[in-house]
Amino acid sequence: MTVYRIPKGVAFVVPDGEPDPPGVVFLMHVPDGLPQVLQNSAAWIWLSAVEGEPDVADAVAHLVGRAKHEVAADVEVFLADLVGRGLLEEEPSVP
Amino acid sequence: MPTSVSIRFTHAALQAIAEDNDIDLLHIKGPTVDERLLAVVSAGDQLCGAPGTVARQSVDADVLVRPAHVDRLFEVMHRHGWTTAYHFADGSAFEHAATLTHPVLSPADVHRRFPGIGIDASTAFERLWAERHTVPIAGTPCPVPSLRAQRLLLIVHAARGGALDHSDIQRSWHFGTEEERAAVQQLADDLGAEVALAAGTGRLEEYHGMRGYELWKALSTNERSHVRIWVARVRSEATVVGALRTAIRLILPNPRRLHTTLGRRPTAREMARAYAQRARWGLGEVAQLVRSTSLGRRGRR
Repeated sequence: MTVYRIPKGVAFVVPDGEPDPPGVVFLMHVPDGLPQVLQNSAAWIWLSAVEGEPDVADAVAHLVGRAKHEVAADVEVFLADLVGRGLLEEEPSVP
Repeated sequence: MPTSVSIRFTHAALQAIAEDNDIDLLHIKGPTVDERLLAVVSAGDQLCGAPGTVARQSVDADVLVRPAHVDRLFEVMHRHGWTTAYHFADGSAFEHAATLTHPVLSPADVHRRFPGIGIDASTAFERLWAERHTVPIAGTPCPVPSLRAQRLLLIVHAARGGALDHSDIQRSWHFGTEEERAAVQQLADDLGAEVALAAGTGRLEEYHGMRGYELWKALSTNERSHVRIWVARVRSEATVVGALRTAIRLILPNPRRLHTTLGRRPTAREMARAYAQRARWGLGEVAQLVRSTSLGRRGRR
């Protein structure tokens, strides 16, 4: 299982008044990046990952009310995309 | 992007800049204020049914920078796309803060000192820095003043704006315990902020005759006469040089403000007109003050 964390230099804000789970999260590489917004399932994937969910696909499937196998592939692709954009990084595995 | 989000990103961006360049700054006001000093909304008003705090509304991100690091901070901020909209001398009569703007982020108000604190700005910063702690803003650990220092800054800020019934003063002082008020008072004494604190907490008369009394009386009671405030500000200066500088600065028109108003550099004729307007305004204010004073005297007879 891959464990994720927020890379150094990435700031994030969940706007005031958002429900739980939040439907929006803003991300920005500080000090010079452009703010980016993740909404709904995209926000849930990022939040689940950085909150240390051991199985992000399972957590997101639960939130969207679908079976894990229906969302797992898309979740994995999006996680890889977030890592590629520097908005998420994989924790080094403990030997 | 909502302003409340953009302001948090500004704090985080400034903190990243500060850390990369060994600049000490404290994040103040707005989203940095301790939860214990925020307004509380009752359970019935919350969607989740539990009581919660109300986020503070701001238009910019405020930071207090170690005075010796101000020039370096500006230089680095400019390299990161920030533009100085108003320098210290362009702002309030206290010349305490400069405003920098950014194409994406909310403006930053960079304070080199805090109005109401009377001791040397570097010594005051060191005192506040020594008891700082860190809170996450936009997920970024940011140094903020201690809880008692936040209480003091909120009270003094409200008093400066003449908002003596401001809820910040209620929560920071009146709703505090004896111990909490004593801690704030002790810090105010150390920082030379006792007159400003007294102004905010209804005890200003205890400081009658002390330097700063007239100024804080004028500010905290929303004095309307610009001349009275001008006189109070000049008298509150510790040195003759400072008094002269303040006296002159408050009378002269500000070219940068005029530049902003016009959207271009003012011409010599426009500057001359601005000088004439300020002079007419000053004479009018003085005449009004004299009239009100003489009428007042007549009334007492």
